[in-house]
Amino acid sequence: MSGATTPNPSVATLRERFGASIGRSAVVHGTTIVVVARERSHDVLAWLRDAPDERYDYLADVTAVEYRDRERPLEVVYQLRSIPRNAFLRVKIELDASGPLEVDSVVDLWQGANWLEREVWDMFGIRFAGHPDLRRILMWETYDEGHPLRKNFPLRGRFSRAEQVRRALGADLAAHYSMDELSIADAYAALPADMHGRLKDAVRVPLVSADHTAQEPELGSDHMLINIGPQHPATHGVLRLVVELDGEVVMRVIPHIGYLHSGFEKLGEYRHYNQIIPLTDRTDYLSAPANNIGFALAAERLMGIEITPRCTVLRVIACELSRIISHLVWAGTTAIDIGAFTVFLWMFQERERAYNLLEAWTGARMTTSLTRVGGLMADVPDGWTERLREWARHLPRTLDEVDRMLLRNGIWLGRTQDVGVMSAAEAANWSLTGPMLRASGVAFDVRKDQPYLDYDSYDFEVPVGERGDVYDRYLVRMEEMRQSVRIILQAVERLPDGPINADDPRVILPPKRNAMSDMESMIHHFKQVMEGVPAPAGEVYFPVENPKGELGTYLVSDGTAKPVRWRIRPPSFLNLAALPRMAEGHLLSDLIAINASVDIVMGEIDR
Amino acid sequence: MELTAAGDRSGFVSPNWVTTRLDDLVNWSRANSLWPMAFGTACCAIEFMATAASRFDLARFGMERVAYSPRQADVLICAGRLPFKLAPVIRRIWDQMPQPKWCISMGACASTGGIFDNYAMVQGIDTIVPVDVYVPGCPPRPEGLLYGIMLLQKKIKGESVFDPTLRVEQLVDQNGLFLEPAAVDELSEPFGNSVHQTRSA
Repeated sequence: MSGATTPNPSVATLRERFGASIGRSAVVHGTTIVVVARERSHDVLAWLRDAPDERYDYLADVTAVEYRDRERPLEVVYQLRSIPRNAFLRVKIELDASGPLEVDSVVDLWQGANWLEREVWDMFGIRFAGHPDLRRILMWETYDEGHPLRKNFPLRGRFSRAEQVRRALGADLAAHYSMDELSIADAYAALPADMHGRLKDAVRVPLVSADHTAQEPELGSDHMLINIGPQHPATHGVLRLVVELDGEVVMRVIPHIGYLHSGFEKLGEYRHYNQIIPLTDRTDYLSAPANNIGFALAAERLMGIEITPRCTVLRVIACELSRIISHLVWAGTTAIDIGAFTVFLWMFQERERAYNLLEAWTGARMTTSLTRVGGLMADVPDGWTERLREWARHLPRTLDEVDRMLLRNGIWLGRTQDVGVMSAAEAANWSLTGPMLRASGVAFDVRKDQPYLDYDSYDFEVPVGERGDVYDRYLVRMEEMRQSVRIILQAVERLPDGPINADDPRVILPPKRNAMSDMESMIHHFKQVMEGVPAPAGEVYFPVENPKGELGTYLVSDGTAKPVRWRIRPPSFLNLAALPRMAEGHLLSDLIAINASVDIVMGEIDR
Repeated sequence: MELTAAGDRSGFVSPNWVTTRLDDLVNWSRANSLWPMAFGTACCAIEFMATAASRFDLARFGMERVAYSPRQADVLICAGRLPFKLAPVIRRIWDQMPQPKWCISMGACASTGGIFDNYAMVQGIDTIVPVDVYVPGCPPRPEGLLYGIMLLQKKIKGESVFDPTLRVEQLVDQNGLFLEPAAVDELSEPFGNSVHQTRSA
């Protein structure tokens, strides 16, 4: 993806096949963009997915962009990836603000599009014809201030704060908690075949009658509805699940998200690039350094900045450190959900040790704001690498202890094996990502397949599961931590001396000492802080392999110091969207285990 | 005390008796067995977890029983940002908690909206529930939260069981709010850097 200037050959074949329906195309920062006519978009996308030479089997993202001043200001953007061919293509549909804001839904092609399209509707007011369930997803359904990411929507909303509070408090908490919404009869036919079997087996529980003869009674259709969340210890944040039960069997589960919607992407349009970095801390707050790095890499590609070798290696260390601390919390909280408390304490002890390292480097335990565009906020202190090495050598012993405790435990095995299975093909179709995708047997890891930083020069393995159940997800994440330790130890060995910031006065502030004594530097410092650093017009989608999966940063610039669009492609949003597919037909207690295995973090899902 | 001679019990005080003010006794027991209702929403919840885990050990303050049901809780700890979509939820949880109850607002977002001065975020939970202690930080360190808890304990020790005004439930008014609309607007005013950082390009 990086550096390529020749257009993706798919464009030429598309033109041949669809003629005038294919608009302009371009190669921007190594990615081919092709504009497709609104009327034919579904045909084009279906062909791209199915044609034997194309095979774009993975929908990385669906989003929209509104430009500040353009004749056709709205664009719907599809980021397509072919995992077998390792190819990437961005397909766009341009829309008139005055014309119908409607495009054809692609949920029938990629299940992963379901929530993504709902989000575009919610945030931009673009309808998707043929979408099975086009409701608001992040804002509540009676929200009537408009569509927040449109440019004519004021940052603070249309109403006064008192009015906003009044309307919010007036919301009906029991809304969408009724049999009507959950009617399983409508949905049954649409369920996959294996789920039919699972539901049938689960419901047909032999009971013993009064005369002690086993029989299968006619089970009534009285289903029970329960509401889990948004404030519940097993939902890992403010997730709400409305579950329809037949006895203990989950017939349907409908996740409601958006309870932590904080308007990150809107806020980003009002911030300079460096001012966005503190925002990225708070999206996936379990692995803040990795988010900082993902954003900085995207901004640097947009501005054409090369980072120094020392900065590159330090960023690799920070990425792997955040992978470990995120997986530590995952293992601890998942174990609590399945009934093992000790793991939580052991994992948090290790996490506290990692916090000490991060604190020594950045001054913060969690919200590190580690990077700056073009470099880092600080170099590591003296003796830090030694402490890191010591910690990295010690960590696998804790992991082995946890493995010994869980993997020989009948309860753990029974609760995790063959629970929440996703096949490889389905996992890709649902746009699962990260450990969830790999546990299902798809060996896709951005660090290997589209290497960034200097990942291509490290010796590490990508663990892949066989069955795609909760158990495999546990094994994959535990092994990922061990591989991260390997990478960290290699990185410490090779850490070169030198500056941490790029030698580029456009983006790097002059040293504070000069800014206080030298007029030129002071003006330079002042202008950079007050006016920000303009990025040349263009757009970039930069994927990085975060602990939760592929974090994509999609930045669109129109040449000013603030982005037109800052889109986060949230990995656990897509992983959570498949929860109904994984959990329906299992027991209620398995739903908790499956939900835990997804490794959600609501700050990133709701943004 | 010590016994001066066998049979002389003039200086003896029975170990079965303590004289104290009722307020002191009640407050002492309330302050040292606060059961927190952890309303964890975002980053602060992770620091709350760290506070509850082994290194900082919340149990030292009589808080080892984290209540996940509001009906068995004394102190609501709002750990993290509170979007408008969540506003009716925290209010219902607060209403479900029995008296006596207190509230700690953990972190910048819960206290003021923090860096999220936008359409989605409640600008301080004090527009919705009454707050006893505000803990600053983004997120606060566990020591910060512990200090906030100790401040709350101090506050509780100054209360009186005979003051009925302390336990009055604040109910929704005719505007559908808990404060005057003007007061909500004033509390939600941007301040500091927030005033300047929200200009569009």
